[in-house]
Amino acid sequence: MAGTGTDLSLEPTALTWPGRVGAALSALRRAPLVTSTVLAVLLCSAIFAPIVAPHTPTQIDVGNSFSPPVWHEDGSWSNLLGTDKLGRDVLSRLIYGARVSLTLSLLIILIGGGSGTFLGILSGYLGKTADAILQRFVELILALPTILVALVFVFTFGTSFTSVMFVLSPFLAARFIRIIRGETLTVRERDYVAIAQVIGSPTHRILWRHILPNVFNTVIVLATLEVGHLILLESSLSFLGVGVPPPNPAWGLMVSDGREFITSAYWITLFPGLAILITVLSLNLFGDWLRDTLDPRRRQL
Amino acid sequence: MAGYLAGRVFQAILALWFIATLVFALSRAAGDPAELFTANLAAPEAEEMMRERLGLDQPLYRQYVIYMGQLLQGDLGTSARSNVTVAQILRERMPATFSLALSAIAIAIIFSIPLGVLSAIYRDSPIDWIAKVVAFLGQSMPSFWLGLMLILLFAVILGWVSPAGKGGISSYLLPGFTLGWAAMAGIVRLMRSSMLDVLDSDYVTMARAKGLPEIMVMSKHALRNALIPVITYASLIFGAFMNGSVVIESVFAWPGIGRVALNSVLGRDFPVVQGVVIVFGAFFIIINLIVDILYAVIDPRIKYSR
Repeated sequence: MAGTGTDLSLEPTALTWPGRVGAALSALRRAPLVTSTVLAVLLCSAIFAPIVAPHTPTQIDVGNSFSPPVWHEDGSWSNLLGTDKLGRDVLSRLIYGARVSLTLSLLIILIGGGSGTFLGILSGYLGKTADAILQRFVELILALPTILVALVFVFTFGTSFTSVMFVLSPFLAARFIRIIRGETLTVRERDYVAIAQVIGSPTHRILWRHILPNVFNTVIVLATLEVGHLILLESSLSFLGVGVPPPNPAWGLMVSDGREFITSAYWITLFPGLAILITVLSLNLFGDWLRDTLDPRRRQL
Repeated sequence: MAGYLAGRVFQAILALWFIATLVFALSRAAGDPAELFTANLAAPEAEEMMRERLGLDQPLYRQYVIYMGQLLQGDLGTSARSNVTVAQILRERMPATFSLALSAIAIAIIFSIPLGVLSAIYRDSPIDWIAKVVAFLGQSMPSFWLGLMLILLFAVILGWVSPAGKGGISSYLLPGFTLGWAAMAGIVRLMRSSMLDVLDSDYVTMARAKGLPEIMVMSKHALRNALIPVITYASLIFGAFMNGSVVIESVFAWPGIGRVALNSVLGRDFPVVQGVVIVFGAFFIIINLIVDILYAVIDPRIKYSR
């Protein structure tokens, strides 16, 4: 609106309600200040959870169960967002929940994304038999239904943080391999790679100095977009009771805790779901912006 | 083309074999399979009988051959909890999952195609922004939470529909909408960009130039062509729905396969877990196969080299 001379926002008919929501969303996209802020706040509360959280997330206080949020008549300032059926503070559990979700997804990104990038570059650069075998394997993994495989996996190895990590990592690796391989195929044909080959650079040096830096933008964009996807998957598994086991304050688990009491104590279910929504939305918007900025060729990602 | 199809079918068979083997490997890796198959309910003698009946006294490779042989004959075993065969459980529950997935697709299409078309015609208008919000929310919302919130709003507070379970047509609305919204995101975006491409084309300009009314230009020339990629995409989503149904059926107490899968895992009923995963996985793979083949038939521009 700057530079038009008149302040359009003062005109009552300038924006309709949906238009206003849309404009806010568009502003978010152009200057990702809000999404960056949201993500920074999340990261900080995850890292400094013990300092930020008003209570211990697993502290049971049965006498204080189902205490409503502060804006209700009988709500109290001690539990801003209320308490659950065991009297645990919802806000504190949300803050620690950010820790669980982010740690888990970042670990999966490191393991799955890292190995996927490595294999994708190798597969794209070396080609031939190794590439053919790896590609069949990637297609195989991408053809499997994630949640069902996770169900069997958890059935045999039990619910734990590591179970979730190990079952989701291959799926992520497969997605990385597919995209990074494609990217490597184009980078491989560039002149600077040909020159490096001619002057006799060893393969590992070409991969490290010439290929990786040129596919790295894609890796970053993909990683950002996949964190949101992973948080959704992990929380679905936790909600079903086959992800992060209780009494950990995982967001999906919290939603499931509040299910039975949704008519009498909506806050137990509402807030963790909102936390997931806001986190994933911010990550998606941020990832989109990052992609447009760093990697404009991959708009279809 | 024939080579591509053959390769694609071979790949699907390979995936099926992989799932079956994965399930076998996991069942043997998890400790004593006799315990898995009796769900720890049986007396030691019964477990011993089970061990013999399952052929667990045989060497591992023999067990694998027997297992594969039974699978090929369609024998999925019997539930450890009840005396019902796994095949029968699957037959009973399959229709509910299928009809839910169909209603979700229908709901997604009904909402997202008009939204995508309008947002392309009226770019940067309020409707375009609504479409964006719908798409972004659909991508970012946890479906289990959306389901619970819809139950809270429409069943508990407003009392318009029943909160859970399968009944008449109205019982499909909430689960169908919950499952469908996630799909809407993709359809709206694709419909919008496809429509924008078509509106830019020469034949639309031509249709306008010869003085055709705008409504005719849109419906006869633009929309028809813009729909092609969207329809293939919508059919692709069907596979993803089979996956999402585990979550949705749990939220809405829907008597389908997804719920059987979860309950058998939580109730440690291994034969059912095994059967559901194999059959469900087979569906997932076969649907992907059919979509790929349809895609190759509908769109001749597709590259057959992989």
